[in-house]
Amino acid sequence: MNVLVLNCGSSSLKYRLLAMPEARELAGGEAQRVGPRTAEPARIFHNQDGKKTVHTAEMPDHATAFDEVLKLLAQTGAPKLDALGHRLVHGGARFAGSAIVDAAALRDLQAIQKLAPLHNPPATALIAACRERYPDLPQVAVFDTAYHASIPDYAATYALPAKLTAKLGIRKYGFHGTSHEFVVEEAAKFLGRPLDQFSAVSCHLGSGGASLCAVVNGRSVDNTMGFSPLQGLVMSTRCGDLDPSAALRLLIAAQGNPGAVEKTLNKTSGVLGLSGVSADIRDVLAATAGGAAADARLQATSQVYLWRLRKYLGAYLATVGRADAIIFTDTIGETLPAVRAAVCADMECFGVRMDFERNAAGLPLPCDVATADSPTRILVVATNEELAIARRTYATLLPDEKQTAA
Amino acid sequence: MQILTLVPSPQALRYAVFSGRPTHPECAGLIRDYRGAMPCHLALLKIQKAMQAAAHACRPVTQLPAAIGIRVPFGGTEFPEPVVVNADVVRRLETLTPAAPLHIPALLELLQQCTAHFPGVPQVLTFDTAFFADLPEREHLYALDADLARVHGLRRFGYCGLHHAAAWQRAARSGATRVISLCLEPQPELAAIPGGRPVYVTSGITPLEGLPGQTTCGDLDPGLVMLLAEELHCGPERLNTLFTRESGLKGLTGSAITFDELFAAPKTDFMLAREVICYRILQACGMALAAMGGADALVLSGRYALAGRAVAAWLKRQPVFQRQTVPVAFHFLRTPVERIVAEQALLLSRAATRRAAA
Repeated sequence: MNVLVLNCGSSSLKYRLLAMPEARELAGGEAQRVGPRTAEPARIFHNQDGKKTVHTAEMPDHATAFDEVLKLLAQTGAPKLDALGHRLVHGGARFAGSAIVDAAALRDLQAIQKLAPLHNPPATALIAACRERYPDLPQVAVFDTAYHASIPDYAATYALPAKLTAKLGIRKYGFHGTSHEFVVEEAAKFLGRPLDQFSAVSCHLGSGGASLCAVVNGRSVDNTMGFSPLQGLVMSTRCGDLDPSAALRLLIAAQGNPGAVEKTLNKTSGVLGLSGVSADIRDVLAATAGGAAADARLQATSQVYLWRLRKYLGAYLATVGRADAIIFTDTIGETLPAVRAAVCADMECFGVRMDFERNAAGLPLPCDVATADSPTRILVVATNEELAIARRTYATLLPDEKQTAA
Repeated sequence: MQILTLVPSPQALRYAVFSGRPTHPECAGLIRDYRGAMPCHLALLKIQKAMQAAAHACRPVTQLPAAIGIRVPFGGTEFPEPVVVNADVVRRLETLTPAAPLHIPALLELLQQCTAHFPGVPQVLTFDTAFFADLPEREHLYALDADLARVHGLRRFGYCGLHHAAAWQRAARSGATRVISLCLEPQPELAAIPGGRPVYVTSGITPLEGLPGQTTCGDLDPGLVMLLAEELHCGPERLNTLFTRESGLKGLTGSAITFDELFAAPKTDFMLAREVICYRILQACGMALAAMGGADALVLSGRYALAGRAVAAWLKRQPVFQRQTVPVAFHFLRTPVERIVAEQALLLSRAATRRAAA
């Protein structure tokens, strides 16, 4: 089964064509500058048979971008598609797992769009367009929130009036689930542990968003993101945790305009807000590495970023109780040994002992960078959200063959 | 030698009078409807009468107290330690009004009335935020635009500093150097205190952040604040009431209960609320352990002793505490906040008297 995985950004469309269940990559790429015309033309960066090509096309919306990608795949002689796998950020309370998109599912997707106003609408519009143009092509929606459907009520409940939270569907949904689930499965495999007896703290540290996931017996029991992807860790432009009264003060300052405050907290806070110069923690850490005489603001930025991460690692290790492993993944987690070292140092009270030499050695992934006698392993695992989505799509369409696919 | 202590809260004024070494108060009481049906000057008159009545019982001559100790919930970075009130202190308090618009004007009125009713008696202010005045930058900064945070004074504090300071001293007496301090008051707060200096605390710019309280929501996704503003079509004031008066235990259970009542209730009642509270405390303990690289002691203080024993028993059973090779020592501190205030007032007023004499 050839699955085309589609991942809508606000102005981009990433795609990967994978032959399942063997997970062989057939083609892939990214359409950039999708949407209203910008200073540069919209382009597709396409990757097939080891060849990279660039194509220019008008792409005023994601549906047109999808048409252009299909055209390109036909021109380059890529094998035909059997199914589409869509990444959706928010599945709300309705979608606790991946779902085949039929008319009812599409209606439900449209109904929950406002839960993730930046991410869900373009993906939902794309799904609707695909159903219209290719009614025979099976489509599966895979949700970032689905893995977290197992978070128990005591961890998912905000201490707000119960009637209000029930009415508005307010609870912790959690995000990055597709990635957390993927690396947890990979880590259990790597350690030779049955997934249903594997407990861990998974650290998805992206250059944009970041979250920690507490995993007990293979299932998510907590995530640092909350109702929206704004809560938790310090992220590139998102503030993470904030006193609700601080949000209220900002709301007063914005003359009661919630949209303006939401923009501030999502777009100009986090690493960018603290440092004032870069939204990328890698820039900040490079400038402050080895105690270099960096600007005080940069020092403060890296300290706040690492401190919050360390605190949450402690909180989630306490949640898990006896973790088999800490897993680091995504751009920051995979490529920055200094971040891993800063948060794993002096954590023996949780049974965590890092081998700092191995951690800094740049070993091929997946790798274990704990000392031989550390009760908790420290793993670095490459995430692959597209492959995870292709796996879910395949398993959802052919549930009986799920076992062999894994 | 008598010390009068005053602990004002928005609707009540607690007072206590200690004689000599502050152990047990010789009289104490709670004035309800404070600044409502019972305006400040009448409240002080009532305290004066109560003191006279108590004095007549054991002493022939009525006298003024040696000092008045007043607990102040917020002193910002302006007051990193207790102070004896003078004209300069009053001026500095006035500058804090924008940051604490309810507390500071009420406090200034209380100080004036104290001067009127107890002329010449030194007034000592003990600030609950003082213990956290030099919280490390990595802990007190929010991940917000630095200029925005400065303009609006958005930084984190702790709010149960008097309890935490006493908790630290209690644990240090037993040889502990890394202390987790959980103060169970209507708005509970947990702090990590290695070597006497706090490095982590659950509260934020206000005590609303962190652990849920009896009527306060604790941590929320900041995105929820905006969602509620839109969905409920309401402004910041209504939301503030929702977060501070209608949430927490009251929101979760639908009943106005205290932490002691929560933990004294039959097993099947309020189960979710109990689980939420215990779980959030466990995660805060995890943060404290990570902040200090371990812990020697955990001290529970505050007025809810029954809840404290229940929480401690539950924490001890958790794997993260069970796995510690050197067990974390649990202590229960029963010192009421009045006594902590009285001790500080005694200390400071004596020092001030000595300086005046010299």
